[in-house]
Amino acid sequence: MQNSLQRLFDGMAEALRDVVMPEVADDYARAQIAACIELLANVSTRVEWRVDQLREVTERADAAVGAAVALTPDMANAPGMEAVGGSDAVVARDRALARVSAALRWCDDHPSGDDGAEPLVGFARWHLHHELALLRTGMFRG
Amino acid sequence: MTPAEVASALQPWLAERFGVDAVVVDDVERRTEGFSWQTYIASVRWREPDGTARRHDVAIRRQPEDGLLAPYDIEAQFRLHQALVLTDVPIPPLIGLELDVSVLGMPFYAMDKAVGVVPVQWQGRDPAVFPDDETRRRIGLDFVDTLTVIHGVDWRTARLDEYLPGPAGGDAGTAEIDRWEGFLNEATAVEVPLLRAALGWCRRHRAVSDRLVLCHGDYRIGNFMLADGRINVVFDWELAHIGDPVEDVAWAGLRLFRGRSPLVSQLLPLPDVLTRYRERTGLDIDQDVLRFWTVLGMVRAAAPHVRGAAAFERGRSGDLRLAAMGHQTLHVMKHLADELGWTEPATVGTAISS
Repeated sequence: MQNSLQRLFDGMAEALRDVVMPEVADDYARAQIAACIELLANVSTRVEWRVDQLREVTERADAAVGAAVALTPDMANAPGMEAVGGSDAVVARDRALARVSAALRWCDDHPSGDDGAEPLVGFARWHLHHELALLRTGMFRG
Repeated sequence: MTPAEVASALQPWLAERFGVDAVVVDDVERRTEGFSWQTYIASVRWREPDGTARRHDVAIRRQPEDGLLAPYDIEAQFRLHQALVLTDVPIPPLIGLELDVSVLGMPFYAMDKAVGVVPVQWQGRDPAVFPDDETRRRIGLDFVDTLTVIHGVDWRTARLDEYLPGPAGGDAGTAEIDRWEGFLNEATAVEVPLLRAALGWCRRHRAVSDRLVLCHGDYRIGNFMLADGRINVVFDWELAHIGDPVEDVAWAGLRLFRGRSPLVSQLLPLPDVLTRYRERTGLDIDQDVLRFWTVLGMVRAAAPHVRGAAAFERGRSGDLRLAAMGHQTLHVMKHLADELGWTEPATVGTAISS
């Protein structure tokens, strides 16, 4: 997920107000759009990404990096490996994913990287299927 | 910009290009197929001094403020188009380039509007385009033949490498891995480890042919037009570069462009594509080379989706379709995982299976 919840709510409301509404002539349909915009604005102040899902990703990413570092200790000093944690669950998730990617880049650049890459690729596989399990739509399915 | 604003802005510009005092631009229509360049088609009408009424239909390619493949180089696009007009590659005549952003808000260039039908991957069974298997096969063979025409362009004499990306003395595989890793570094708002892992696979399994050609970079169903059953235009050259010809062959065959069809770009079976390509070029495509470019192609296919969602997040675009791509890219990544045998959910510590 590349987008923040607030940006998605704001973007959906903007598209309805600035793009869709001017093209709709029917009064009832316009009222529905206006209600959607209002609901998006008011729901946006009451929701956040599911913390249980964010924490699961963070914990599994951290575990994968930990396992990779145990196999290839030099990886611990690689660029991008320093930032961890954070009280905000989204920030912590983003940092954990960044560490996995930094560790994978280190593996590409070092002869011993194949060993360390295994738990990282394992996490990447899990992460994809975790995200796919949450998906409800898709034009490219199949 | 609204169609009326585009029409008003283009009138003096097109009048100058057509060498007349004034033109009327109408029937402006923004095409919505693409997610990158903004394409408008319009009719231009004027009267000659002798009173003769003239009409010329045009297509305008406006550089977006941001998008799937930013940053854009419109001058390079225009120069490539100028060079290709002199070859047998099917491409419309040019009208002009405008770098002054005061005209349409961003640089753009104009060309003749082509007439025909554009087959797209989500309508691969359209009976109006593919009435029977024989027609589909004939189009498929033309698809391969047109690719060999593109690959036959003498890019060295035309000096295309002066402004197109290329290996610059290195190998084409490494050049493209580096290019797309750099793209992801710039594009990504939230890291996607699977794409990083796939790039690592590409570095370990790099395999290329011994040829360097002009690669279209996005050669597939959806990026060509048909007229009278033949390809009359090839579109969307923004990913053109000097590279390995197998890259284009692999790209055309990605699952992303097949839908539920087993055919390359829903046109022709892969063995037939390879045979036709070999007959036309003498290149016998190695399976390892094809697989390398297929995997890297899937990374390439996913990367602009990531870029689009990030562009939306950063407020550089208000197009909600870009935000939706943040989810759609998961399907492309599933194709990638399937190709690499990374299909089953794995726990931390699971061995790499390819």
